[in-house]
Amino acid sequence: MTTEPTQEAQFEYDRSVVGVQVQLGEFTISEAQVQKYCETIGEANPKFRGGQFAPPGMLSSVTFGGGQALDPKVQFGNTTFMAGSRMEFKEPLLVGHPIKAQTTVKEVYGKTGRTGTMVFVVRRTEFLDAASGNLIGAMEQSTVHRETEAARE
Amino acid sequence: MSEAQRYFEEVDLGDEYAEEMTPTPELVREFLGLNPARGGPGDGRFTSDEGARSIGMRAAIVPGSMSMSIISRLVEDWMGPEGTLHSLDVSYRRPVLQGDDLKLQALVTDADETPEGPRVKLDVYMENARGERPLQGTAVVELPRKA
Repeated sequence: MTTEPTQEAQFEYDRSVVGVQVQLGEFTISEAQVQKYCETIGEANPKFRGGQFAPPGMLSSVTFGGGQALDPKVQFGNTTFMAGSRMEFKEPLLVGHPIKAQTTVKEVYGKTGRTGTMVFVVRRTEFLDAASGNLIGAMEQSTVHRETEAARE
Repeated sequence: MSEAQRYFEEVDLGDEYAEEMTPTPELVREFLGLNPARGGPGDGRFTSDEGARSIGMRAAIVPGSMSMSIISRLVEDWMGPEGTLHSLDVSYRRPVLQGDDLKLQALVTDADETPEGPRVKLDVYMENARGERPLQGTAVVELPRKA
């Protein structure tokens, strides 16, 4: 565990997991999953009705079998929320083509603002064509750890 | 919702596009059911008002990944079947409550012919009936040119 000072608080986390890449396993998106996804979020683009392409936004909701993302075990606050997501898409997401994912804890940092001190964990996940290894897309997600009154009760 | 193709030549700075969406508890359950292995934070924030209140929310909230999917749908509907979504960058400013009537809005802020092709930048956000914008961001898409 490493202790990092912030303006108003200190927090601890497991620095050894930062920068370590973990393979999350493979996943193949089916046509039925695309249809269900489109129905659920109201996707109307006809590109995703032909059974060939999946909406790129699906990548944010897919779980890969196998590996587990590393946890920096941040010791700060009593709850977590998503703070932001950045997705980049390099290749079309194809139905029936296996994709694999690998993820890294990129950064852990504290920040103090109007609403108090928060600790952010930034994870980068890359999605690759399982056969060629080509990058299909990538997602950087930041999660915030903070203290809330209700969660303390 | 639009099924029409949008072309680069038709886009002007300041163009707006809007859709509506109400993420009901039923839709949230369906979204979570798309990937049951994914699980969640384990406090019930997505499945019950009580769980959400335990972390200071007024009522059950929408998963961030679902909000991301909803806003990506707005962009995908806007660009049409021959458009390509290159990036989507969003900030979660406050929770999206289940059952909130959401206005999804896209605003063209840049349109440029780049070496990689004709690119359009959009500001995107969702706004609830209370006038709050729980999610804001930007998207970059490539649109086809008219033949």
